[in-house]
Amino acid sequence: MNQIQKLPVEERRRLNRLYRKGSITRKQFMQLMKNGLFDHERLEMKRKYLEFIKLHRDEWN
Amino acid sequence: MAEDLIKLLEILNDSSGWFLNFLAYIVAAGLVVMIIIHLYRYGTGKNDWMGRNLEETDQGRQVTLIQLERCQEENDELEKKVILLEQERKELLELIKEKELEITKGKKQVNKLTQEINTLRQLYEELDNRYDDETYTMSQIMYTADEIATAIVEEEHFRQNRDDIFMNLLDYLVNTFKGFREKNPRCIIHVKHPEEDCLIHYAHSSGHSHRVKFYRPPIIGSSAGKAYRTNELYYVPDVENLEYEYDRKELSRKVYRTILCVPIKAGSLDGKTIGVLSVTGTPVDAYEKIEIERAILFASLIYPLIHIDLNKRKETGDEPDSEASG
Repeated sequence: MNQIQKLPVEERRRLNRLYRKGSITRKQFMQLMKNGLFDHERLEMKRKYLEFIKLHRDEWN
Repeated sequence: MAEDLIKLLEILNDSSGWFLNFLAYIVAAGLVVMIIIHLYRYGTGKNDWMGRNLEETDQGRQVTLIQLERCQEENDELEKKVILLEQERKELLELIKEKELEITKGKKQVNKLTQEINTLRQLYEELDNRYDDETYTMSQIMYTADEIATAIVEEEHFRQNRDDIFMNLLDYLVNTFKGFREKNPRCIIHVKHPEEDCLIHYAHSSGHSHRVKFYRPPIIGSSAGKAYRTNELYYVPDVENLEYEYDRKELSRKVYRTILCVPIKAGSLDGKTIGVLSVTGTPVDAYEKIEIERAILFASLIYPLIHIDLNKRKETGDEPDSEASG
């Protein structure tokens, strides 16, 4: 990751309005606001977790 | 030939009266001897009462006995085998019981492990959600810092759009609180009145009516005043609880039960508190510890902008009081 993709101010304002109106959920708002920022490690960890669950699902069931 | 034989018989008949008698005696004596011999043999056990030779039967008996002994031996062996098999059966039954116990124990362990795995999965999901929340908060802090820096650099733009800029900045904080619909979080910044012993409105987040500008929390007798006075965070989980310092205004239309007041100050320097950031929430005890900590962080973030702005306004005579009272 060489460049941080910050959202433009106007886009942030627009998302804020949508969230307050209830047009988007908090989860959607969070993901759109983050735009991947600070989230790489979490997503990588989640990918590993989901792979692990998929691999062992049959054994556990 | 036949004639000769008949003649012989006739001769015998004529001359054998004594002979026949003699023969009869002989036969009778023989019979008696035979009876005696039979009785003797029967008495000594050599014959049975029918005159059968018992010695020969003994041989048969011996053979039978040998067979019987063999059968007995075989029977004994079989009985031993039966005992052994019975023991083996018992051992196997015990083994089966042990194995069944092991299986039951194993099943219990499997169930326990399954439950633990499910608990771990739930914990991971919860942890991931919190991690998600934290990374989102980081992005909000970054945007807040960005906009504060821009506001400091672009003074004129900030001066003209102060309310909107602060509304956006405070909305970043509000958006980091969970349960926006339920808690209905709203923020207000109050600063010290230049002359009077109260705080005055400086900025607020979206969701407030314009009337919020006119309220002046007293230094003594309000939650914001207490935070300002003590330079410490003041959290009131229920404003209806009389134990807490809170300005209970008559005819006030309360839409919140929780209020959090954070002093806006320069680090840990005493006497450098310039205002109070107050956050209200609809339910009782609306905020978690992490949310309170975020409010503290945002109060620190916005300090430089408020500090610079207040100093500028003091120089130009455009202090917040004149706006609030208007």
